Formats: sequence, structure tokens, C-alpha cells
Amino acid sequence: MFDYQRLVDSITEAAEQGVKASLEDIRNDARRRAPVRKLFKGGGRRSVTAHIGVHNHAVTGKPYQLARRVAGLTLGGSPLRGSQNTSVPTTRRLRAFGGQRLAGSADHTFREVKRVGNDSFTFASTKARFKIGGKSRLIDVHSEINRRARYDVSRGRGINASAGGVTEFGGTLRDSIQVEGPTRSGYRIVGYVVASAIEHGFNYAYAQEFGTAHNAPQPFLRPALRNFFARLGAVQQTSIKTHLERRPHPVRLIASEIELVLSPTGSFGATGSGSALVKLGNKLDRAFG
Amino acid sequence: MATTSAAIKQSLVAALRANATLKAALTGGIHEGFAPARVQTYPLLTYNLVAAPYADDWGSRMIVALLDVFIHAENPVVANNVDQLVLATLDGASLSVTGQTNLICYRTADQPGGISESAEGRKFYQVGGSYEVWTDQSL
Repeated sequence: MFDYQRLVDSITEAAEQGVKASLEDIRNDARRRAPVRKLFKGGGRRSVTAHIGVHNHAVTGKPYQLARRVAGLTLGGSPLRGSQNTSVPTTRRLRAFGGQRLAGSADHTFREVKRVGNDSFTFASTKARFKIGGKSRLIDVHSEINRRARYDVSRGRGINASAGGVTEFGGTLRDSIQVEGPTRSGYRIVGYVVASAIEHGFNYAYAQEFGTAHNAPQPFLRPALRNFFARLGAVQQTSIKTHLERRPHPVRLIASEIELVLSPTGSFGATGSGSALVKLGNKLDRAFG
Repeated sequence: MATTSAAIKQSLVAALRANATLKAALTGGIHEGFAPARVQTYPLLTYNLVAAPYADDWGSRMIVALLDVFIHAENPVVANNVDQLVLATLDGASLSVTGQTNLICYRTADQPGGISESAEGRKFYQVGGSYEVWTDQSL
């Protein structure tokens, strides 16, 4: 005998999984877009490009080097070419801002800080570990850190202590972007992508998303949400309601909500919600009486 | 020739400037993103493009642009009054977008901004909303 309830449950379960996957997708995109404190001199707002000269010595087993004195390093501007041996320039993108933590070929070591006083920190290492040609190398990038970042670190500003047990400079906002839910209540599935980076009692996720009179906005949450829906087909778009809302300070001030209503009446009737799943339910209703 | 969301921003500002009452009320001017530090006259308006994904069809492109428009003032009442003028100007407006056909422009949400305080103790109120502008253009 056809088990109607079991079918409904399995559809609801699948929808919940879908909402969860969607939320994670939005979260990842928002994290990639979220501004992170600027670390290097010059360069663009979101990323810097280092032109890594692969020294001939590398061929003979000596370490690759990244420095002006070798083959040129530039962070944002035009590359500074050295006058070294003929080299094979390789470009590596240090994703210092946005998404993957300093991705590309470098790990996060150059954002790591250590405490030297009550409210004072210093960079833990002057070198960052790069993977070049499949090999891991330590490269000195400390000289490229900008003055503001040095000042902030020395004053204990922008210290992100929750980055997987590692204390880092910057990234608090990015790391604060989390998925909440989804939670199911009958046929209603609701989940959130939230950002809550509170410093001195103020959630600066607000300031970044919306800007202030004298600070430019750098929206990260809504573009992620919009792009997600732009990737969806028209049918799915109508089935999912979204809105951005602000929550009371300071618990959760900024959130993107994704809500999927399978059937407002709790049954597979003609509800006119436009939900693809409701339509599917209607078809099943007709098919199985 | 295909045009981008820049044309949408341009048309939005043109619509705001075309409203003489609003223009007169905005003594601090209209600024993209943020006002320069030297601008200390309020109220002022800032606008910012949040997202403008493309939806391409065979031979045509639809852009759904989301823009934030905020009023910054030293008085919340003034901020709300000027915001009302912005709403009256943009909500349901027919924008003249270069190279595109404006389908609709409407306010999607209020964004009740926060209160910021300068180092001197001056308080500033940020009030505004998000507007969606739909346009279509042939490719």
C-alpha cells in the first residue's frame, strides 16, 4: 500500500537538506566576499598579487625565494623586476582578503600573531609558508606588511582569537559568518546566514554591509544571497522566500534568511504559494488520490 | 550597445537630482558609497550598488540591480523626512537608463540604520532603504 505520509516526510527531508546546502553555499560566498583587514602595502582592496620569481638556484635544490632582491615582488603595483639569473616567473595570488584564507599557495602563517603584553601583539613569524612546485617553502613577506596593520597588532586591534585555535590578525567578520538552522516546523523550513562581529559593543557587520556617512559599504551578505538566487532557475526562485533583516543589537544584527515553505496549510492542497514542491505535491495528490 | 549597471546608477541619481525639493533638502549632497571627510554638512545622501546579477536570455539581458539609498542626518526626524522624499521619487519611478529599458523601480525594504557618534560626540542618524531596479536590454 502506498504510504503517503512517508512520501511527504521524505520530500520534506530532502527539502531540508536542500535548504541546508543552499545556506552553506551562501555562507561560503559571503565569507569569500567579506572584507578582511588589509595586511600588505599597496594592492587592491580584496587581494594582492605577488609575482614570485623562481630562482635558478631552485633547480639546484636551494630554496625558492620571494623578495625584491631575487626576482621581484609586488603587491598591487607593477612587478619590480630584479636583475638575477634568468628565472621562470611564476605568479601566485595571495588571497589576503576574502574567502579562502590566504589561499592559493600560501598558508595563513603570516596572519598569525602572538601576545607580547596585556593588549599588545606581534606577528608570530616573519615568514609565510608557500607551496611552490609542490614543495613547501618559507618565504619572508614581513617587509610587505603595512604600517597600519603593524600599529593595529601592536595595540591589540583586529585580533581574531577564534580562528580554529590560532590567533590571527583580521578575519573576525569573515569567521563570524555562520549558518543557523535550518529548522523545520511542520512544512516550514527556515534557516539563516548570520554575521555578527562585535567590537566595543558595536557590530561592524552593519557598517560593512551598509556603510556609514564617511565609510564606504562593502556588502558581502546580500550579494551572496542575490548571486545564489541568480544561479537558481525561475521555478526555484518562486519557491523560496528571502529577505534581509536586522535583529536587535547585539545578539544577531544582520542576517540573510532563506525560507522554504512547502505548504502553508500543512497539506498538499492548492495553496497558490507557487512552490515547486507544492506543485509536486499537487501532482502526487492527483496521482494517488 | 550593451550597457552595465553603471547606467542604472546614473539614472537613479538623475531621478534624485530631478526632484528639486529633495535636492534642496540634501544640503550635504549626493555621494556614491560614502561622503568625503571634508563634507560635514547634513543631511546628505549616499547610495551604493549592492548586487546586479545578469539574467541572459536569447538575445536579451535583464539586470536586477539592488541599490541602497541612505540619508545621513543629525536629526532622526529630518532623516526620515528626507527618506520619505526619496521614496516618493524612486518608488514606482520610470528611470531613463541609457541603453536599457527600465521595467520597474521599487523599494524592497527599509534599512533602519544605526546611530553613529563622532569623536566630538555628534550623533548621526542613518535612515534609508533598498531599491530594486529591473532593466532589460537587447544584446
